[in-house]
This record gives sequence, C-alpha cells and structure tokens, in this order.
Amino acid sequence: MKILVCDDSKIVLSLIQFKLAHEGIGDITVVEDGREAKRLLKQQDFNLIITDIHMPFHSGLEIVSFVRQELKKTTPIIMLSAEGLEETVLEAFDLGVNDFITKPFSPSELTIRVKRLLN
Amino acid sequence: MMNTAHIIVSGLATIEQLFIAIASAFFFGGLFFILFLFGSRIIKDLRLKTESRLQDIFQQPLNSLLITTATSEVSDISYQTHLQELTRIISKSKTTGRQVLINQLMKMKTNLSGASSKMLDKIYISLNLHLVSKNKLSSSSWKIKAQGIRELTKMNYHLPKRMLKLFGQTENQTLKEEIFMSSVSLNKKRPLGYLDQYDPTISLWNRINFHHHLSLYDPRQLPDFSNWFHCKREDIALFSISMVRQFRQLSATPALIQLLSDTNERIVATAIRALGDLETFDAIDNIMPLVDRHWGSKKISLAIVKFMAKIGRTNAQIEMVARYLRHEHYIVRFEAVRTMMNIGENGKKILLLHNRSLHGRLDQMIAHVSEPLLA
Repeated sequence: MKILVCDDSKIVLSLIQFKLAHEGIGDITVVEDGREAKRLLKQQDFNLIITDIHMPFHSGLEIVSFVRQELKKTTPIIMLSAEGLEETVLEAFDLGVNDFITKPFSPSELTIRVKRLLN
Repeated sequence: MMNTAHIIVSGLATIEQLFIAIASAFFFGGLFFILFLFGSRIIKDLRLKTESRLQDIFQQPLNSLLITTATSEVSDISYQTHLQELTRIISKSKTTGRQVLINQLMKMKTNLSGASSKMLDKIYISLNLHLVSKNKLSSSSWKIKAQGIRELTKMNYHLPKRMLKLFGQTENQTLKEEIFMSSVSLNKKRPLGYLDQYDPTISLWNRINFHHHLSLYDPRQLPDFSNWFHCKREDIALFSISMVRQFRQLSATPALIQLLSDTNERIVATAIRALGDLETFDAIDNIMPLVDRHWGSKKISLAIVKFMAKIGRTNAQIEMVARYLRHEHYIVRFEAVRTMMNIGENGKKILLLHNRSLHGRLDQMIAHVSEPLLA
C-alpha cells in the first residue's frame, strides 16, 4: 500500500510517518509542499493521500481538486486541518475528500481512519 | 599675486583632504555595515541549521515516546530510556538544546490531542523544562517573561498564585494579557475566575483569543457569562454579553432583560442586540418601553431597530419600526428602511405609505436597500 502524506510541518510529517510505519501500514512518502505533491501524484499511483490544507505553492484543496478533476482518480483522501470551519469542511467534501480530521488530532484516531479507508 | 594663488591651492588641498576623509568614512562605514549584515546572516543561518539539526535528533525519541509509550504498549523502562536519550542530547548543547526542545514540544502540542498530548506534558516536566520556562519569569525583559508564561501555559503547567498576583498588577499590557489568557486556558472549570480576583483589561486581541479558546470547549462546560454582567468594569460586562450572544446561552435571557434598565447606554444597546441574536421573542414587551425612554440615543435606537429586524412581525411592531423613519440620525432611519423592506410584504406596504407622507424623502434609501449589489 502506498501512502502520500503532505504537510508543511516536518514535525507532523515525521510523526505520521512513524505512526503508520509502527502500525505496519504500507510504504509512506512524505512531501512538504503542494508542488512536490502534484509532481509525485502525476508520476505515481497512491492508495491513499493524507494532506494538510495550508501548504506552500498549492493548498490541500487544490491537491484534492487536481486528483479528482485533472487526474480523474478516486484515490481515498484524508484532509488534515487546524481549520474546522463548517464551510471549509463542506468545501473539502464537495471537492471529493473522503475524510476530514481537525488538528489537534490523535495519531491513534488517524490510524483507525487510514485503516478503514484502505480496507 | 603669487601669495593669493598659494592660498587658493592650499585651500583646494584642504578641501580635497576633507572630501577624501568624508568619502573614506562613508566607504568604511558602508563596508562595516555590509560585513555586519553578512556576519549576522551567517550567524542566523548557523543558528537555524543547529536548531534544525537538533530538532531532527529530538524527533526520533519523541516519536517513540508519543507513539509507543503513550498507548501503554511499552514498559516504563522504555519510557526512561527515551527520556535519558533526550537528556543526553540536551546536555550537549545546554541552552539551545533546551529551548529547541521546548519549542518542538509546543509545536507538537498544537497538532496533537489525546494521550499523545498528555505525554508531551509529562515529558516537559520529566526533563525539568518547566524550570527553564519558570526562570524566564524572573527576567528583566517583558518579552522573555511573556515567552515563559506562554510556554508554561501551553504545556499545562499552572503558574504559582504569587506569580499570578504579581503579573496581574504589572503595568505592562502584554504581560497582563498573557497572564489573563494563561488563567483562562488553565482554569478549565472557571475560565473567567481570574476576573474576580484581578482587574485586567480585555483587549480586542484577548477577546479573539478567548473566543477561539472557548470555542474548543464542550458547550456544556462553558461558564455562565451572565455572572459578569454587573461587573464594575464596562469592558468586562460588554465582553460577557457578547460571549452570551456568541455561544447562544439562552439561560442568560432573564439577566439580559434586567440589563435593559441599566444606566450605561452601551450596555443597554449590547444587551438588546444580544436578545435579538438569541431570537428571544418574549423580550419584545421589555424593549417597547425603551423606544421613548432612549429616543435620543443613536446606539440604543439602532439596536432596537436591529432587534426588530430579527423579531418584529406584527403590524404594531412594524409601526414601531416606522417611528424610526423620522429619527434624527441618518443611520437609524436607514436601518429602519432596511428592516421594513426585509420584514415582509406588510413592512414594504407600510414603508411606502410613510414615504408618501414624508413626500418621498426615503426614496434614495429605498433604492439603496433594493439594489441587490449593495445588499
């Protein structure tokens, strides 16, 4: 299982990578900005994408729109955000996000949601 | 003749020397400035590189502590081993290492919840990092003091009461605000308890932070803001009323109605607006007598019209709004027009009748309110 994790915080990336690896969930690739995420998404297929909303170059919402509308892929996407505003959440689901987790988040909860989507 | 020429030549030489001296001063000054800029840049880069390197080194044991021990998968021995590893790294680069680790723990705290968040608090205490933050409180610089308060608050460490008292009396506004927010964040059961003991000023910045902080609460655990309605400080009373409105505390309606007889017009106006936002239809009987009593007050008149925009439906209520079409303040007349246009067909009809009796003086306001692009 290939998972792409996009977040501009190295700390969050490291923690998610460690947690998922600890749970034995797939091959994890991490990127710190939207441009790199788009580049990888064009080149490779992933089984799951976890993305933050606020990132340099391209936002998480742009990534979702890129995957769903340009690449026409149905890869499950989990959005992570410190912004829990109703309209942001609705916009994310409208664009095709499968799950939305508000920061601060529990790593154990994230793992459960990842497992659910991968199954 | 020869003498005059000599004086001019020697004078020129003096001017040239002066010019060279000024040019040299500028040159060396500029050179020194450029070297200073480069030097400070290099030092900053080195500092950032060291911090980044330390952050990477800290991350590994922190991940292990948070992911494995936080879920009780690993024994206490493992917890101690990881802690010792962190202590060893810190001891190599004492001050920088401790500060980098504190910043890292704070960043992680912003992103994590549950058992992992509690584990971060435990690590902070176990490594005695709270002592580093507490030391900052005795610094002569208010910026360092404020940083210390912020660190302790973020890591859920309660400040000693004497510190609260000391900072509660400080003249420095930023420190006062920091200590207020610290008290709000740490006192989960009674976030506004600080207001009872001290006399802080609630700035707009505080209000935003406070609202954000409370919005993360379970609504059932929010304090009853009506307790501070009669606070002698106007800003605290106004703030409490706005919090009741923001968090829709309907239980505060009787206390809000009581405020309608307050002597402070800002408090009365804010209470009316809160009642409108809470859609308390019953309050209309208490609002009606205020029309004549506070006719001259722009704030209260405007608040009444806005209240009616939310609540008013009957002909008697629409006629009450129509009285404000003749108010002395333009903004009140304008709001009355807007309300009557939006209140329904009946409101529009009554508005047009009044406009006719006013010889079309409201034409432009009606046109403004009817324009969708200006809505």
